[in-house]
Amino acid sequence: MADFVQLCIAGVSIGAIYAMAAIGFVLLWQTSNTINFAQGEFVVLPAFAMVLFFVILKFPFVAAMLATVIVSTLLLGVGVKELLVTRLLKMGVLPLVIATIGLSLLIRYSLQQFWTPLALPFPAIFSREPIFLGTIVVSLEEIGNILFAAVVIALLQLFITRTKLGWAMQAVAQNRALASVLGINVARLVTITFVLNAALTAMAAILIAPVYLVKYDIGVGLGLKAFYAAIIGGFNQIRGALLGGLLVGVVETLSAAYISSHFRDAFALIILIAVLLLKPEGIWGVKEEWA
Amino acid sequence: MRSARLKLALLPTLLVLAAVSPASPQGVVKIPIVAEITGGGASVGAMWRDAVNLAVEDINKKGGILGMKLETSVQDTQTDPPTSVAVMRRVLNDKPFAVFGTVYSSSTVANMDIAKQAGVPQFTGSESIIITQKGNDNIFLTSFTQDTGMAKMVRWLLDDLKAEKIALVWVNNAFGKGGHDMFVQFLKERGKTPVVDISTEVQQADFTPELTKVRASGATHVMVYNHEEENARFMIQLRKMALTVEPVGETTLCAQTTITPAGAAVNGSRCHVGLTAGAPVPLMVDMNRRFQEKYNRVPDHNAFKGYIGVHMLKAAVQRVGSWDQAKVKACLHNNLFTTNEEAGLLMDLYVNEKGSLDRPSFIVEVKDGKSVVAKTVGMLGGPYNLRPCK
Repeated sequence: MADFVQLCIAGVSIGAIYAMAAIGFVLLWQTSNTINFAQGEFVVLPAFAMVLFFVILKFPFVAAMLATVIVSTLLLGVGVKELLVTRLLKMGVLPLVIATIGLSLLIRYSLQQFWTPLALPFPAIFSREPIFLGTIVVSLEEIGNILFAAVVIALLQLFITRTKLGWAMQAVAQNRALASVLGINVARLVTITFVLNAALTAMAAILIAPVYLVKYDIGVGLGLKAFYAAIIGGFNQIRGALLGGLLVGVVETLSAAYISSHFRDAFALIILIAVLLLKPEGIWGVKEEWA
Repeated sequence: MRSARLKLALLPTLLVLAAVSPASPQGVVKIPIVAEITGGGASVGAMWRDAVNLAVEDINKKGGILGMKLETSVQDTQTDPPTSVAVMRRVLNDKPFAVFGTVYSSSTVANMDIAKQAGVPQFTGSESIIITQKGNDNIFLTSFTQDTGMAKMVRWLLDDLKAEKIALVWVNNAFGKGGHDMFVQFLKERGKTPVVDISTEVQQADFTPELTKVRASGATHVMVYNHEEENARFMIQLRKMALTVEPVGETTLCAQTTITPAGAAVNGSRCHVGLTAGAPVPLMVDMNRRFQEKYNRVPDHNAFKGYIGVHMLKAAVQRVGSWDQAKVKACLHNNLFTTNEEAGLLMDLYVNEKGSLDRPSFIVEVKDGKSVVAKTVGMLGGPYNLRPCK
């Protein structure tokens, strides 16, 4: 039983990181109908930025975090939205999807070529000292990751449900044309969503860097799992992405422990296929009507 | 008239020489590097590439080999076995004298037959037993295969460490499977089996399930046999879970490329290693220093392998006395090469009939983020004879 609880905590800790990246997918889809296949690299780039500010330039942690979020929101938020999304979105979803795949390759191999192909160390944000709860051993890092992700997601939820900007985002998500008629500046809102996504992925990067280590290609698996998570939970609901992320994290951990490590990733895919067959809108998703 | 007849008589000889030797008339010999420059093995490939280039630079500075300069080019396999096959085909079109790479065993197993068909000697950083089991006389390893390494490893583990309950964690690819099979076989010969036998995946991020199994097994030692990056993550999580089991391993666990990202988590690990930057061998110390000066990082075992590989080629060509691929390959089998004749070998080595090596190795312990040599282990077999090749 102790092992089971410990595995669940580890799964939730990893799942919380998947959830943060998955929520980014949902945000972008809701406001701009964009599927960002560079989402994994949107986590990797801030991780490298954290290494630059925190490890190399020796900024204090909070300053490094702020600098990372600023760089991330400018480059991956405003930059990507203005240079890529605005120009391609009018051509439909597919060209933009292809462009984000290209962007992911560009970021990945630029980091590898111009920085390093090696895994870089990253100091733990939370202590790695084990905490003994009877026979269960957890680390402050796992608990810290879960709490940190919970706070970020809760703040995001508050922003979306309790602020005018959040309501406007919901309105755009529900009906872009009507939102525009009602005087909502859709283009500005899309930019804000990209900035939010970039900030979210920067936060995920801060959590993931000590666990995954900072390497140019860690975004590949992460982006894919976040994508599964968003589909499983519901591509149009933040709570769905949260559920999906946690589910993927816990299922892959438990299946590796109790069935086989070989099928770690397969079980997330099995759930994905089952959800697509039985409830295509996702466990907590809402059916969308297409005009 | 006499001159014309002489030219006519020499022509067939020249034609034969041209056919035998891929060395270009400009005095340059091509030795392309086929390595994991991108993808999961990029860190490994970078070490291999840089060390091969360093060796070539050293050799060229001293006038090359038999008056010929070496020339490298780098081809990326993307750490993908099918891509490595395509890259190998492309590289061989340029008629190189020898090929350096690949390092990942899964790639080498896939591409080694292509080099063999072309008759171009292949020097690899791979260690999998599967490579030498294929009976390919064209391939030369730059380190032990796993049968030599694991024989030494098991002997140390049981005789020196008195390990009673050993958990085995290994990466499920050609490298890991080969090592796993050899380790289990040598343990079995000593009447033991691992208390738990767990495979992992390349690029795996979370090892909590595996570590939970290790803890439940009651193991006293865990033999960690993954690639460096995964080892780093594994060790960080092992410490987080406060496992009291003693981590032991082969070269990859105590490699600098594991220690650097994992930091203090690797401290206390003990390994049997073929090559290490901390080896108290003057020639290795010197190579280590020059590698760091040039690339600003500590060379790992893959770097030493790449460096030694080029000097194996040099030693064989010099001993043959000509750029003849068939003779060089023959010379590189069942033969002892010493640092007296070629200092770049760093240590005396014996190449067996399968192209695998025997040479001294080391027991290291990671202390304060550095691999510290605790003991030097002699060659597994021998004494070996040095055979002339002319």
